[in-house]
Amino acid sequence: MRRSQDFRLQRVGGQDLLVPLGPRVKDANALIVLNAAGRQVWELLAEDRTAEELAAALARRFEADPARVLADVRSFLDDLGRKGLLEP
Amino acid sequence: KEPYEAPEAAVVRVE
Repeated sequence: MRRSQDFRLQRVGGQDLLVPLGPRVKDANALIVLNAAGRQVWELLAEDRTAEELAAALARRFEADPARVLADVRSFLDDLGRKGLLEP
Repeated sequence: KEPYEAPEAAVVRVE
C-alpha cells in the first residue's frame, strides 16, 4: 500500500499535520495530526510498503517489541484507509 | 531513543 497524493505533511508549531491539497481542500473540514510513529509510517508510505516492512522499521527505530508494533501498524493502516489517506 | 507509542492519526476539525 501507498499513501494518498492528496495530502501533504507539514510541520507547524511542533506538530506534524497532514494538509489536504487541491480539489480536496474544498471538501475537507479537518486536518490530521500525526505522532512520531505515525509520521515515520507516512514517510515510508511514499513507496509501496507492506505492514510487515513498516512494523520492522518502527521496531528498529523505537527498539520496541516487533509483534506489538505489527499489531499497531495494522490498526493504524486500517485507520488511514478509513480516513481516505491511502491510495485505493 | 524516543519511547514507543503506537502510530496515531488524530483528526482536528478546522474551518
